[in-house]
Amino acid sequence: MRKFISLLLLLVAVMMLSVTTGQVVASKGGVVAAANPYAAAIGAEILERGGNAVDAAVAVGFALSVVEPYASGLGGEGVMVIRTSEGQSVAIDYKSTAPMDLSAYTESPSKYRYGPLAPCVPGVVDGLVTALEEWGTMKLSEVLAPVIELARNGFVVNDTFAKVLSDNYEKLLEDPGEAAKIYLKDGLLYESGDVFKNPVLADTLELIAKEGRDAFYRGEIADKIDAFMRENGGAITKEDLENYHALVKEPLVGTYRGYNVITAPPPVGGMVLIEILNILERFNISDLDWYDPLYIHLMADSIYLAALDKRAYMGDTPEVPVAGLISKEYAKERFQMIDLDKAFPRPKSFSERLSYAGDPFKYDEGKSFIESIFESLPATVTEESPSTTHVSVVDRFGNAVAFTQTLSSFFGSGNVIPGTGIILNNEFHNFSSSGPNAVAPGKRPVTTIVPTIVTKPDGEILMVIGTPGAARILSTVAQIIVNVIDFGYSLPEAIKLPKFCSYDSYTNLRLEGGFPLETVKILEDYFGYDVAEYSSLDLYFGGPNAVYRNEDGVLVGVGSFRRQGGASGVDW
Amino acid sequence: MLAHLDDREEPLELTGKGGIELMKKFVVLLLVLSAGLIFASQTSVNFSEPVLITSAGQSAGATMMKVLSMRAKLDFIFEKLATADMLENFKSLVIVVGASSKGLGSAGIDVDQEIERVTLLVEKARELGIPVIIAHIEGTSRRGPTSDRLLDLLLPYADLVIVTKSGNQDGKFTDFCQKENKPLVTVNTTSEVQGVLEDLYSKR
Repeated sequence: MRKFISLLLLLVAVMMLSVTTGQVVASKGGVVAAANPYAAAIGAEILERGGNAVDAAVAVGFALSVVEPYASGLGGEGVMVIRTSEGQSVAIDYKSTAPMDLSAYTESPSKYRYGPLAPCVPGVVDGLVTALEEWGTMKLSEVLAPVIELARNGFVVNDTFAKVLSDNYEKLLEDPGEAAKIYLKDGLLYESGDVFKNPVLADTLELIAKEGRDAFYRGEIADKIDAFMRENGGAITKEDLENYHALVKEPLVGTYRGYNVITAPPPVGGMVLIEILNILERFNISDLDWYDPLYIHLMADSIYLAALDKRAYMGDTPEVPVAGLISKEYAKERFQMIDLDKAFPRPKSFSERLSYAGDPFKYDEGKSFIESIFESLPATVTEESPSTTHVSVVDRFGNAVAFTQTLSSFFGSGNVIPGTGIILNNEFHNFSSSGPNAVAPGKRPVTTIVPTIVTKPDGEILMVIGTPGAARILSTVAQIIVNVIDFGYSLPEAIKLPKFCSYDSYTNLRLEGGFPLETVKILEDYFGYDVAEYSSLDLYFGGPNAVYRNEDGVLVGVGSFRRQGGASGVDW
Repeated sequence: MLAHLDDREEPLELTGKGGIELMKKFVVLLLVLSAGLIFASQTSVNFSEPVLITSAGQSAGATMMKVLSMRAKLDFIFEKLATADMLENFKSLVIVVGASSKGLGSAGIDVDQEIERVTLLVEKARELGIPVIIAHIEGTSRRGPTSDRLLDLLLPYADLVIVTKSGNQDGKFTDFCQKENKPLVTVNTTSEVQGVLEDLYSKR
């Protein structure tokens, strides 16, 4: 009888759960924005059940491995930034690490894009479990329950899923593991509208729910990864998995026009985002607008100069001159390099471009090692994919979480570990042959992800933001911040407005469709940019998922317009 | 030609194994088709092996056609970037249309180069009297402007058109085949294409 009553109460509780999911959602009860509405809804349900933002974020992090298996998952990595309602800020670095034995790698890291030598040791499981244990309130089994159910019962495939699958069809067919068995439909592609179920991944998640992180790093899953690597010439060992640990770090904190920008520390893009905003802050751009060629020029060159510094100095090493690079004083030097009526030179020669990197050391306490870095800078730039995924969560208590996860390319290395449904990342190619990002055992590769929380001068949350999009991540996030703070657009407008991208490895200026013809003409003919135009709302420019807090405390969640994302809020 | 079998306004929409979408008055015809007596008796065009399979747009559809052709035990060569000079060794040509910027990029070509290649290919097929199948088997996700541009170019050369139901939601294939009296095979799922190939090439 007691069991019956418990079951009845549980049933009533579930029936009373009430969340609303859509592209743009407003709520005072907590909001989740993610690259997929199923995942966002799971997060909102966790909030509705009394979980906090971290509980919801962890559930969504796992749920994305089900509904967007190609973009992030248990075989990938990520970085999370948490801001508690008490004002504590923390970053969890769960980036993947290079295997300890690198003897199988005989060529430049950029050559290892696919196959068993492409992955680094995955960090997602340890990162999410660490976040939950330290800052969450629920049990792992509780946050995983709806995710396991989703994997087992399936979901309706959307256009993004179908297209990404199609783009990677041959990669999946070639996998010596189980990519074709699990992610194809009898060897063919799933189409939009099909129902996709992943019982193998559901079993894996169930094992993690039962045994925790050790199932992945020490137990059955570790054994399966180790066996796959041995059989197929990979480099990751069980010992690598056993030794993996997510790192809890201090986030970087900058300011932009009085707002606090709390973002991810090296080896990812937060340092670059702060430098971009510091340079841009020197200009009075609030009188301009998103389509103004002068604004685009100033932003494009700010991004270019900051990206050059990233290329020159960023790495998973304590020698990165972080304090100098994010200082306002250093930004003045970079600001002075921007010509108001002419685009900064973008030579094709990589070494020539890097000669424009600045000297942040005089603004930093670190010792000068710049000459040795310059001598050994990488000579090539890797191809970049619009993969990765970002999640933003704010709960009713005022806790906020921004995290970005990735497999690097869509479907990562293309390897699915038999019996697990786990797709391994292909982060190894993000290392360089030399310089601060040179590959080394146990090291974490530099990437551009930039999960960020922006707070008002009084510490109140303004917005939580981030995006996938490789080299476009920094430019898209910087533009959204400027669109909101300088131009006064609402968050949905700020995200939807056309984006542009400048980067150290691009010799041109890349514009999303939607800019006025006059703007394009002035950028080309007056400022001297080589402009490349893309289609409107192009996934190439990322898929931001963000939450904004209105003055009245209403939270507005926006799911990616460019990737069929979704926001979900607790009804209030 | 298949579409001349009667005076209906709609073009004949054959199906693969599933047998859907035919009106009741065509039930008898459907039974004939599912019995495997198929296209040879319905169309004046004879599709023979060996078959050259290629892509127009470099999406995954062509690779799926390769997988389905293997399952159907066809004597075929799959060449994503097949050129006109290869055609002389084949008795039929299958072009699977679907534009993928990633696929084009991987192949190191742009859309204009792809259009030039497939145009030369179908012109050569016409010159040699090699029957052409134009297929679109990836559904709505591959019905963008570039795919449609390729379809507009290639459909007039088709002796038979194969499309998945989801790729024809706007009726583009139905309208074209009706207007131009081309035989159209509509399948509910991509996997049904295997049965269509088996029937076309008398494999069952």
